Amino acid sequence: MNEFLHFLRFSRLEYMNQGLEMSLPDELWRWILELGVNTSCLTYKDLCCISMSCRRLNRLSKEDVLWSKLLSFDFPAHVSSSTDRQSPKSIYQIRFEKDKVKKLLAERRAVLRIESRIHEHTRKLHEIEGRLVDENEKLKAAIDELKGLRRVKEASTALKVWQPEIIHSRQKQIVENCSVPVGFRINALEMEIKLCKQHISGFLRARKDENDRLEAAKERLSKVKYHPLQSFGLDDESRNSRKSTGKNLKRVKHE
Amino acid sequence: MAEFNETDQTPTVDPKTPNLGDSTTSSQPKPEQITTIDVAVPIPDVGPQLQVVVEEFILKSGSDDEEVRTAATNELRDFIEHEEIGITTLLVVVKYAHEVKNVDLLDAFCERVADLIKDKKVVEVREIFGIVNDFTPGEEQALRYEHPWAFED
Repeated sequence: MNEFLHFLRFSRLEYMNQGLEMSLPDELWRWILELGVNTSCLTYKDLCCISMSCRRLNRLSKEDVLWSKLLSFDFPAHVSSSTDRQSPKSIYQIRFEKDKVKKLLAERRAVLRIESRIHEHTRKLHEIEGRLVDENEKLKAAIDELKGLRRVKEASTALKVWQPEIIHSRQKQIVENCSVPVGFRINALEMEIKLCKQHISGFLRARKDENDRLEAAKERLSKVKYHPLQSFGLDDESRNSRKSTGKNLKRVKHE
Repeated sequence: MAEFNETDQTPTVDPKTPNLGDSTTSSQPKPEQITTIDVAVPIPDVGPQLQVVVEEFILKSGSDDEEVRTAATNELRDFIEHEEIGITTLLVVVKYAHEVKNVDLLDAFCERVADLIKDKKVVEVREIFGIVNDFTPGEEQALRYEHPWAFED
C-alpha cells in the first residue's frame, strides 16, 4: 500500500530515479558543479536552477568558488577588492543587472539611430518620386507637342500636291496656326524627349538604390529589436575554447 | 528503496535525457563482478560494453606515455558522447572513479553529468536526478523572488 501511495505521489520518472541525487556525496556534487562551471558547461542560469531544486543542492550551488569563477569569466573587468563583504553570488547578480541596463540603453540608442536613417531614406525616396512625376509630365508634354508638330509637317508637305479643296484649306489652317519654326522645334523636342527618358531611368535607379538602403535599415532595426540582450560579451568561441581536456582545472582535494 | 520493475520507460524530458533502459542496473554496485584485470576495487556492473571501455581506459590511464593517456581520454569522451548511458550508470561510474581515484575517468563522467544539467529547468533537473523537493511552498516562493534576474528574457 505504501508503495502504491509512493507511486501516486511522484511522477514515474521521479520515482524511477528517486534518490539518485542522494547517492552522491556532497564532495562529488561539488566536483560536478565545479567542473561544469570551469568548462563553461554550466552558467549562472543553471546554478540558479539547481539552487531551487532542493536544500542540499541549494547550499552546494551557492558556494563562493563557483560564483567567483563565473565572475572571472563573465565580468573580468572589475577587480574585486578584499573588502567586498558580499558573497560572490550577490556580486554576480549586481554586475549582471548593471550590465543588463547598459545593454538596454545601448540598444535604445541603436534603435534611435536606425530609425532616423529610415526616416532619411524615406524622405529621399519621396523626393525622387516627386522628380519622377515631374519628369514624366515633361515627357508627356513633349511627346504631345511633337505629335502636333509632325501633323503640321505632314500638312505642309501635303500642300505641295493637289488635294480636294476641303482638305487643302484645312491643311492650310494647320500650317498657318503654327507659330514656331517646325523643323527646328521638332529637333529640339526630340532631344528633350531623349533627355527626359535618361533622367527618368536615372531616377528609377536612384529610387531602387534608396529603397534597397531603406529595406536594409529596416532589416537592421528588426534584428536589433529581436536580440536586445546578447550573451555577456562572450562569444561562443571563447566559451568553447574553455571546454578543456581537463588539464588546467582546479583540483579539489578528494578526501 | 523498493525495486520497481518498469518495462516501458519513455522519458518525458527532452531527448538528451539518457535512456533508462539499463535493465539490470540498480543504484548499488555489485562488487562481486570479477574482471580480467586485477583491480583493487572491481568495476561495478554497468553493462558489458561500458565495462570493457572502462577497463581499457583504466589500463591506459596508468600509462607513462602522455600521448597514450590523451588518446584514451579522447576515446572515452567520444564513447560517452555517442552512447546513451543511463543516468544511474553514469553516477555509478562517477562513484567508482572517485573510489579508485582515477581523476581522468572521474572528470569525463562528471562532465557528462554536468551536460545533463545544462539548460534544464528546475522541474526537469528534479526529474532527471529524482531530486526530492524539500522546500516548503513559502521557501520556494522566496527562492523564486530571489532569482528573477537569472530568468528574464
